[in-house]
Amino acid sequence: MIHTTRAALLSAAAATCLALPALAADGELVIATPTLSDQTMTPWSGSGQRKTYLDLVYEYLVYLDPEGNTEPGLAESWEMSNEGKTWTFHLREGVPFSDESCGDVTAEDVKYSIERLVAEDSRAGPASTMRRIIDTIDTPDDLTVVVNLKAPDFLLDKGYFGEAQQLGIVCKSYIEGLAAGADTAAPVGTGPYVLDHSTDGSEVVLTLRDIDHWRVSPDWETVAIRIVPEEATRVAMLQAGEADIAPVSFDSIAGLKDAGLRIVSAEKTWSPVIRLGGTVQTDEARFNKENPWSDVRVRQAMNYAIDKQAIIDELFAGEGTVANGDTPVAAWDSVQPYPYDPDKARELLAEAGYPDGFDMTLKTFATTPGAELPLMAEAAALYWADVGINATIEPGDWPSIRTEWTSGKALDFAMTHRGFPFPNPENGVEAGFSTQSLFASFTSDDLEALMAELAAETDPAARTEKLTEIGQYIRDQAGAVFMVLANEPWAVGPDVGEWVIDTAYVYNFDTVGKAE
Amino acid sequence: MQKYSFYAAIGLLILFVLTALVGPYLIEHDPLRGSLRARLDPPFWIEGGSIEHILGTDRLGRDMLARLVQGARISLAVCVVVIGIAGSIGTAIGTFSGYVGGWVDRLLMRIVDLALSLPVILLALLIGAISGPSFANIVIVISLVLWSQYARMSRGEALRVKNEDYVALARTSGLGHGMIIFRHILPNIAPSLIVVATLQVGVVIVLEASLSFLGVGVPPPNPSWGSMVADGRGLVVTAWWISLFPGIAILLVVMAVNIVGDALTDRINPALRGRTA
Amino acid sequence: MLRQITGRLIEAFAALLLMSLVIFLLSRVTGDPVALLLSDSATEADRQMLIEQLHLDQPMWRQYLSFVGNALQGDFGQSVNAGRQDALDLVMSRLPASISLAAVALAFTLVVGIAMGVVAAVTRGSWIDVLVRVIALLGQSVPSFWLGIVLIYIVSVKWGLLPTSGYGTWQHYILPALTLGTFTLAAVTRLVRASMLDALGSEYVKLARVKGVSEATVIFKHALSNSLIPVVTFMGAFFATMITGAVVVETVFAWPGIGRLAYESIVSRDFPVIQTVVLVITAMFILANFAVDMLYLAIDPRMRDAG
Repeated sequence: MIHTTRAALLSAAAATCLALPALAADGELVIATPTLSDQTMTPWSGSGQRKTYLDLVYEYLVYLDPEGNTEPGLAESWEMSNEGKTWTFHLREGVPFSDESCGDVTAEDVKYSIERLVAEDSRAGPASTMRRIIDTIDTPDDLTVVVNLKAPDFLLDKGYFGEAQQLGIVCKSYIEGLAAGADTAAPVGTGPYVLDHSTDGSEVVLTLRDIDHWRVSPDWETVAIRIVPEEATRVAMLQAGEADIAPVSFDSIAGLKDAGLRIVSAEKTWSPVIRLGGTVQTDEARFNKENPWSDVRVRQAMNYAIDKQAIIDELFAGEGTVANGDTPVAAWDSVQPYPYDPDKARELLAEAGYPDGFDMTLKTFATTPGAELPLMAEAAALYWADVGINATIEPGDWPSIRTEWTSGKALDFAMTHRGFPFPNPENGVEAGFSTQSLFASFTSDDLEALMAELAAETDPAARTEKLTEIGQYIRDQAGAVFMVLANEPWAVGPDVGEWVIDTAYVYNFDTVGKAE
Repeated sequence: MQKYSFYAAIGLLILFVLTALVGPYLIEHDPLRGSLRARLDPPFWIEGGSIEHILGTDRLGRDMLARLVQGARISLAVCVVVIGIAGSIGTAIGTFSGYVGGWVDRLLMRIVDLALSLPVILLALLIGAISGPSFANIVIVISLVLWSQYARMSRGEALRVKNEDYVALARTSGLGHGMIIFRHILPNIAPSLIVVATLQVGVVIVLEASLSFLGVGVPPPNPSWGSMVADGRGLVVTAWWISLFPGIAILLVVMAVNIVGDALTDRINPALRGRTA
Repeated sequence: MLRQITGRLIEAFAALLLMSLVIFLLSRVTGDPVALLLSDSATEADRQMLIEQLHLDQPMWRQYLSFVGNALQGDFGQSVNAGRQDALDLVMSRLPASISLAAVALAFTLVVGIAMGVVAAVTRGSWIDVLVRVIALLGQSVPSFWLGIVLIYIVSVKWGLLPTSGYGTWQHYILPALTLGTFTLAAVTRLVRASMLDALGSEYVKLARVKGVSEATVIFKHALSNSLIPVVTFMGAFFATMITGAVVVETVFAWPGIGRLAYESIVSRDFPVIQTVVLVITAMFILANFAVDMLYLAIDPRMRDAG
């Protein structure tokens, strides 16, 4: 008797030793991600990098389809009036929060969510620009929200209020009840999942709500999002079956495909670009005339000198197109990118008075997506060297580079950047090229005038035309060294079925299918 | 057996230094330039490789052999400069401390203890964040860690030597303190210091590799062996040659210096054996 | 004895204070978190607002004094990250993962290192001796991130024996501890081998042999026990190596310890957390050294007089 027990124990122990450990359990979707950012739980308490998990809990007024068109969300319908300065949202009836005390979503909840997101202590990415345009919010009845703007915004639905941004709708009474602790407490939203637990620096685990959800019917009981900073480890997890989904670098794709894994690409969700500092021509303090690239011919030459297609083919595994601007904008489709023409580059440099080229500093950093940026910087420097431009590469981290970049000084260096994946392209143009923006590196009086015209235009067709004109201007002026409109590769394991990423920061983890 | 391995190690080290000194002039490929279209080519004996790039190419199509040779130069430079700085500062402080004694000695030794407890890598990250990764920063950070070992060692030796008869004799004959340290104490300490220095070559190379992994190593496009291993870590399966060759180079050099260090210890100061981990 | 203990305590405290100043200054010159927390199109007014919120508008010395003052009362400030968690809580919540990993790694290093050292010493000059030393050196010359990744591929992906990464069961400890411990393995082996050789050549071992004590007893009872003393001396240093090496190993193995926390807080310029992590690590070292010192005082009366 004793012997058999012991034998059983031993074999059980042996089995535990030899069993494949930590394999994702049935019904559990494991996502390995390099960061969970702040690992906070309210929409306003951090950056959009937290959307991997927050989007499963909170919902948005407006959703986007894969083509980028709007779809009803918590708002069933909406209209714009008063020449873009008033937006009225009609809410869906009977959408319950995950906490019973909250009941269904009301106009008050939406009003509170907006006000909280633009409040002074908000850490949300778009908080400051939203604060500049949002004036007052009225709630004529329980299901109607009227947003009055200080300046017209013709794409509020797609932009700031859409699913690609951070306006998740929270339960007002719940947040107010928690007071200061709300940012780290279990979140209450209308999404299909609720938070099971969040272990700091380690993982966020969510479980499916036991309801018939109005928008989606997820296949997975549990979604675990784990922090795995090292890419090689993420790749190993995918191969060992410990993770179902993970972002990977382009260089890992071949090996993963050999191992039988699938790649899902989010198309053109980021746009590697080299920004040339100190070309803020409209602000004396931020305009550095000493930079060779303060001359438009030099900026053009820097664009002509790089074989961007080769960089795409080799460093981005062919997953991208040569960029015609600093960010992918549909209205810019007619804008032609700079071709690879080193002779033309030399010619332009000579004309500008730099026949032997010049020395410069190029700062770079890695991010997600954007693990390829440092490699791209080195590749660009190699091409520039052919026309005499000698770029010294300074790898750094984003915080220090960004601090310097937004210091308001006349910058004397260039940097790699991953572009602005804004669903509303006007937001991206404003961030990159408006004197107002601390981040801007290229501005001009002509461009300011064009942007003012765009802001004043109310006719949609004319607006698109104006936006195209702006794109063509930025391209001709070579407002940056445009590199790639790149895809974002994610590897998925054998248990995962259908899964589509719509656009930047819209991961749709609540619609990941299960394989047969 | 011991003898053969000693000579083999010495030979390897001479080869390492020669490679670093003249190697770059013998290789036709530019270690900093490459062709993107020829990236990740395997070594010549693997299918797809060519004799053009004997050890293959890296992620930017640069010749691995040329980078390995250039890397020898940079890694050696880091070692020499770090050990030079850490060695002289550490020895100066340690000798002074041991020679003077008293509360000065006590204070300095506490600082040495504190230096030992510095979270090196965090410090490197902070300094890297301040001024970006650079050769100078790496040297400063690694020196900050290593000087204390020299200080401890030389203090102990100085304590021992200063009570020897001939030092006392020198003092009574009116020799200045500086002269005593230079003439009598330093020559006595030198052999032990050389042993410590030899053994630290490996530590320096591996530490630099860790810093490269965290993004604060020798900045690109210049290769160090450590940064090359870090560069290829994501491709250990598909493009193993990027990390394996510099890895083997590190291994051989570390082994060689350890064998030589051990042999020197046995010859110079057997009492020191194993105490210089 | 009591005077010595209080002396050491005062020194330890002074060291911590010095460290706090160093780390405070270092973290301030690395740039501030303001730019990070601002959106891409933020204006100067947004900037000023945030600076005031974070009290970064006060002079440096006042920031430092209030930091030290609060720290003495156990308040290390809050993370500047949006969660605004208490910095000390944050560090303490990550501490167990790091300490347990370092302890397992240290145990591995000691057990394997001592065994290898003894074997090498006993078989001095033979091929076994050479083999043992080569193995130990291998560990010292392989960068730990590379070793970790290769181990993951072989043991976890190829053989499917252990989890690739993460924190939880005892299986999760094996690969990270192996990776972390390998670097110090060579040092332990060297130390043990050398002091074993000394001990085996000493008079009392010779005497024991003459007396006819069995070889096993000679090795294990007489020689080994004596040769462990230098290992104890270096324990603090080994532990220090492991805690700092943890930044790399925790990154590779997605281990939620203070190494990762420190790295992340540096990258996001989270001053209060950076300061707390470094101070906690330093305090641990000082404590460990203090313990070793006290241990010596207790076991070796001569030290008391030598001071």
